[in-house]
Amino acid sequence: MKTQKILTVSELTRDIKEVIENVFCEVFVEGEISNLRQPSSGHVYFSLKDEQAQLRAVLFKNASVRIKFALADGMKAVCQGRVGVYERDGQYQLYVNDITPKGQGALQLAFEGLKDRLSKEGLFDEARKRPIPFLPQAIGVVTSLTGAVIQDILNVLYRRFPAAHVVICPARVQGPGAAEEIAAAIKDLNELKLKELKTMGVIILARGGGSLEDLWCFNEESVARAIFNSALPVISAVGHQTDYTIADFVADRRAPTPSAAAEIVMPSRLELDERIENFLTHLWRNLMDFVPEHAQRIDGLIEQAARALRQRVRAEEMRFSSVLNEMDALSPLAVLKRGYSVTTALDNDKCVFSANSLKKGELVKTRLSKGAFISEITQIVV
Amino acid sequence: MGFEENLKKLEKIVEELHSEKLSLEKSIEKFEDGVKLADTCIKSLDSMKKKIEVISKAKDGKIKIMPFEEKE
Repeated sequence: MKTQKILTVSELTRDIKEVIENVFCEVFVEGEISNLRQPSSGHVYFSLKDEQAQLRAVLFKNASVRIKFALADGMKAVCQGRVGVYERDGQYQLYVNDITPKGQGALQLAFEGLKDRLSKEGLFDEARKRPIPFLPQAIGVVTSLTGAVIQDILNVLYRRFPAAHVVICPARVQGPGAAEEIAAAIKDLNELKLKELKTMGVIILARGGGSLEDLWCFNEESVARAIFNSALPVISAVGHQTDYTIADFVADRRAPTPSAAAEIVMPSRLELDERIENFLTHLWRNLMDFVPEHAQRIDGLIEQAARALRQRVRAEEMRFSSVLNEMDALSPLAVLKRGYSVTTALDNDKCVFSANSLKKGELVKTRLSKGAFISEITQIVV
Repeated sequence: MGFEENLKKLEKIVEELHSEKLSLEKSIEKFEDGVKLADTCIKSLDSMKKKIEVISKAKDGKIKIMPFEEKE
């Protein structure tokens, strides 16, 4: 008994730690993730289990940023790391360095499962999709500030419209916690829309191309719900043309690439100017067509009026001369012209109608067509 | 009145002038309306200013808007 060396708990634990950590300095363990906890510290805690055993595991923050997809309970994965002993608790655990999902099948399955569920719930309904405003006064962009995507979007926006107002809400677009940041960014922009940025009309949610794991945060329910609950219409532009994420299905519009999203949102200033110019040209042309058309009509009317007046005058003239002729025919002078004559009493100029009114020796005046003569009555014949 | 609505109105006026038989007076009136609308459209395009901002969240959860430094 005396020869037995008595160790303190600390000493024994240190020895165990040494042995374990020397032997298991790099292991690959396959198991199912369970009891997943992601506190705000950024470290991730979970258990890796199979049918017979389970292993505590921790994924520190600095290692977790490398993980491109979201961890979930029930997910089968291969963890690479070392086994360490946490002396204070007397526990050994796996310090995870990297996690690979067990086959693409697992992610695909998770994707199909969520897609199916949200679809049944109506999150993808066409009727729910809102139109993208034609010329939004301000555009919200949710993406990472690092990388080419934000520059691509800004370049396209400003090439098309040199005076656009863009509000960027930065969010990580891959790795653990990215989904939550994206969802929060969408919410923040909506909140701003209600307060300082009433002019905001649309949100672009964008990320460059990547593997299925890279894009995984866009397949998470929290992002889908944030898009669904957004009062502002959302255009998703995630990955390349061939990549479809849950976010794309919920979004009001899907753009094949981030640049394409910028094109959809912003009409080209040049095209707008041309359109207005075109309208103005049409307006002028219409008026120009219209004025001569009217002027011609007026000219025509004047001409018609003049013609009518001329005709009228001619008709009046003809009537006048025929009246003159008539009058002429009735004139006593015309009778005289035909060889008749008028005899009047010399003293009172009264016409002599009957020989009985005359006396022998009386003087009468006889008017002819030309001139007159005075004669004395020498005999009365009855 | 939004830019898009004005543009649509302008489009309608052009169509009306094109297709309908209007009196000279009415069409001059429409023409004047159209020129005014085109002017308003251009003005509202010109009134837009380039502005890039970025949002950051303080620890107390308050949202701050700051100008965005463009990288060249």
